[in-house]
Amino acid sequence: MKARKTSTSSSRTSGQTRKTAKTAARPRTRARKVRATRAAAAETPETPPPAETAASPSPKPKRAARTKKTAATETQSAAPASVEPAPASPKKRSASTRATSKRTSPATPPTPEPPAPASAEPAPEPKRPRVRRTAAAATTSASGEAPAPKPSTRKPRAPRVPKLPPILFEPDEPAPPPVSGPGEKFALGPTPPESRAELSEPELPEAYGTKRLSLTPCDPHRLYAWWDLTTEQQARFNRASADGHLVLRIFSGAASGSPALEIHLHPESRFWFVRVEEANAPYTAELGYYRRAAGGARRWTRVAVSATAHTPPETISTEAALEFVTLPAEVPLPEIRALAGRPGREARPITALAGELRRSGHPLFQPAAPPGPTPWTPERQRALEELVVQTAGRPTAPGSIEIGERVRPGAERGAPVVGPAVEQPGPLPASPAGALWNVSSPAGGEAPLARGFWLNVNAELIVYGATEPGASVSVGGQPVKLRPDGTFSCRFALPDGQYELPIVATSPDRAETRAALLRFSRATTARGEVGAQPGDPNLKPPTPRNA
Amino acid sequence: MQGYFALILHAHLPFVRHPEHEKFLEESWLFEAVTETYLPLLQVLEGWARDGVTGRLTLSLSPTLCTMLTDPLLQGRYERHLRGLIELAEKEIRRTHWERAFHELAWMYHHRLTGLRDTWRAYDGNLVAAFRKFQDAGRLEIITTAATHALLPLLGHHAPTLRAQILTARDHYRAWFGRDPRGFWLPECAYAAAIEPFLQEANIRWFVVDAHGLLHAEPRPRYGVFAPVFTPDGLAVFGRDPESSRQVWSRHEGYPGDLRYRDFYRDIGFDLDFDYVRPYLPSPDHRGFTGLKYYRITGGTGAKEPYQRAAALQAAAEHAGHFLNARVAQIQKLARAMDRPPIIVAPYDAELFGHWWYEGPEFLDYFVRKAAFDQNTFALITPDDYLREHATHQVARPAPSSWGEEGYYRVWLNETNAWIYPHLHAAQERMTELARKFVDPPPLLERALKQAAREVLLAQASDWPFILRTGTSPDYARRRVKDHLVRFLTLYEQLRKRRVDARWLREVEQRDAIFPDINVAYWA
Repeated sequence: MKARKTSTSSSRTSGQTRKTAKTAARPRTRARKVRATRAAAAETPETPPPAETAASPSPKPKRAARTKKTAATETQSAAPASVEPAPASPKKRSASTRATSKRTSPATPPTPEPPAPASAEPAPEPKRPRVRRTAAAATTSASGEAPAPKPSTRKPRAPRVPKLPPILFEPDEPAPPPVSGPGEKFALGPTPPESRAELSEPELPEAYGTKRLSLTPCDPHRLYAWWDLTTEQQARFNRASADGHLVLRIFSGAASGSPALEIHLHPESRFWFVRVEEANAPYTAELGYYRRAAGGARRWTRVAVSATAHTPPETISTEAALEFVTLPAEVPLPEIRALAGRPGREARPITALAGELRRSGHPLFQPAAPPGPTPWTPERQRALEELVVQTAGRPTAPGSIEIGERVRPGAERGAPVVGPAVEQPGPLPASPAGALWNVSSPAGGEAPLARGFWLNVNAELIVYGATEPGASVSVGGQPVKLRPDGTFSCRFALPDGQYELPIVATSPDRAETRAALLRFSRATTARGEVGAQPGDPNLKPPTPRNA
Repeated sequence: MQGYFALILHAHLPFVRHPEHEKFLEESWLFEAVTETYLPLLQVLEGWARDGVTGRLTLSLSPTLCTMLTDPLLQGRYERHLRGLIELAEKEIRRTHWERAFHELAWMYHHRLTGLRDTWRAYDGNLVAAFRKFQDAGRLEIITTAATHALLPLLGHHAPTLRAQILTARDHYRAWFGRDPRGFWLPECAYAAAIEPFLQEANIRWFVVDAHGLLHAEPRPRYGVFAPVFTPDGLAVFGRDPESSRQVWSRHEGYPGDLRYRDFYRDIGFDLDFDYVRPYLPSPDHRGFTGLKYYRITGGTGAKEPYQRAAALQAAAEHAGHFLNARVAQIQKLARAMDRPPIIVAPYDAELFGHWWYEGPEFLDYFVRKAAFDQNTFALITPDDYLREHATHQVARPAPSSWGEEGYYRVWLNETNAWIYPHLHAAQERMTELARKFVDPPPLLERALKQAAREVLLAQASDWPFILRTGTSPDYARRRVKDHLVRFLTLYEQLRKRRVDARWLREVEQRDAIFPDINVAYWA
């Protein structure tokens, strides 16, 4: 993973955390191997292989194609990543991609991209996605831009590329999950269970062919766009495209005028994570392609347009208008509409109707006098704003899923943290330093040594025997339940020490008794650090008196 | 009283029920939560009732959890599980005879487990009825959440789907608790304005958002998170208080990391001989948690030290006292600055208390008792109590947000799980198509229609993308999403052709047996 970061300028690419169905099931050792190999190739900027389709019947990109594409991007320099490429399927994923962004002048209408070097039929090799950041959103530096390819009528020579081992293109495991305590309700052990082969999976359709484009905000600066095209539909558009692939345009506001972003997609991508500049702003996506027109021009063809999505705000609003309403808790909300003479699904908000009721003098909707000790004053306002601002910003309070790095076992743990730094009302009374990173413990063993090799040894004692069914047996003075055939067994932890264990059996008619006294000794010597659990030196032998 | 404190526990687990297997690994999520959280919480409530402790608590019980807690198959399996645990504790008492520290712990577990069995039997294994009893007695306010805990803002603002998630939950709440819910737990505190018309339709009066969801409201709320606002649709919105959250969660101030507390991961299911623990493992072929854990967090990287129950309870008492003092100081400071009594809202996942933080129920117990007897700065109330006391509030529209990582939706929408949503959107639209097409279908088609609705709801659970992201059981989560969607698509095709495979339908009904009275008209 780090190898990728060496050549990436800013935002994380999807390959850094992406994991898909198939890869999730792989043993961790393999993932580590992949990472190790990647580390060795740290100087090679990586580019994803084309995304693969979800359903098996569709043709899958071949390894050779992946290698070629990687080579093509090796010639690119690092560029600000403003998009995060997405895989095409839940089962496979493409590796990370760095997008190229390009600025244009604010006054410049969207100029057609130079024609792609390859002809549209057959579709050219998958290209690295390009992002053209137009003036509307391009306010950041675009240093490291890759030059746009020059128009050419010649079919380009296949680039000569070093052959990279296919394992380099295998997916990574995702970053350690930020799970917290309650998130651990899904924990099945210190590590996830092994993949269960019996969970054979049904297959979903790869797509439904509605040609819909959907846009969803993930956070103030990230949008998730997906489009519903079957493999055949997508291949048809790709063939019609002068670039051999579809293009995603992101507009500030409605889908008109110059797009803020233009993203050249992988030919088989079905969704994309897009970074955008503005929080609390509307964005619309448009999916389409450039087709070659007469005279070498390129003409935009729309495939789908999304509904407008609004990114969430990330700051406190400057709008400070104050409107208070009274909504009596005992009056159901639909009844408020009826009271206001506007039953049913009337468009006016309930609070507006409550305001009308207040103005009309309805007793239930009159505001109560502030119950505070003194009236509202500018001093109070300032004092309160100071307190409110202290709670602002993210992350202010870890959510239900945020402190995972502090509770995950073993090597995934982060750096040690200090104990309680209590702000108020005083230090915790006699509380030892609690470090959440220590909450976890590797499965069943002590902390491994520096090289990771370790040994834990312990011993148990199993005493077993048989007597007449119906007899009574005690071991160490405690009665033992016999099995129907008269057999019994007992298990004891056996720390270092010397022990005696009396066993007594009494016949069913209580007339006869048999007894045995077993003596045991355990002494452990260790070479190197060996986990051991020596017994309490003060422990007395388990005679009936001591039991 | 200068202010109020509202403690909200959100209890939820996804619907996991596999009659086709004798023992199923993921069913242990429920069994562990019952043993470590839900039954201990009931014991704490019983103690408050017995000792006349005043103060009200809010408990969110998800419809999927209620379904499982009232399901005879799972109730029977839990009894078997609890019986096995007690048997294991008995064996441990004998086995640890020469390991005195563990021996005492084995006795502790045996004592606790038999006590839990008594509580279980006292309620005849029906924990929903048990919690209802405390609500009816005025000690709890129970609220509901989306039917299958779907992350509502990611449902594409598809109105029929949002309506179905909310009204299905409302309907089943009525059946379980004999009244309408007043509050609604937004799954993962994820808010988007599109859900409000349906909350209003369900006569929901309040919900909670994370602090920034309220602080970033439009216009800015004068009182921050220390008083609710009304949305234009008339719903009261409370904001999660960061400070009280931080004291439980923070790496610097969080209580559960105290070295005296029990270690969550170190379990005899991993420590002891496999053949010995095998009969008590959640899955007989894999090591897993038994619930018997003998070590405390300890600290450092050396060997773990044995858990000492008395020291851990002392820590819980100290932390409860500290938490109380912090709330008193916080409310006193706020009261000086506000012209109305502030309310501090502190929501937590219920499973934090007991399952992960083993001493959590004792912390709650000590805190509430101290709040009831040792101070008179604030009252422990529920948000609905507050609204009944104070009906005048500022009008503002909260900001889209969640309490997840970074405060938005990335936990549930990222590279590991984004593939789910196109399928969900297709399914929910097809469900609406079916609901509009079949208004009064014959019985077999009606059954198929209802089952199709159940499958859509089950596929929408936020737990599956969450688990795919966290990797705790990704194979299972992926399989569940696909199973429900494929079953839905099969039903969709059968309904379209009006040729329902009755035998297969019965199998599916028995397997995904949830929401028996589901109302398909909500999708129309």
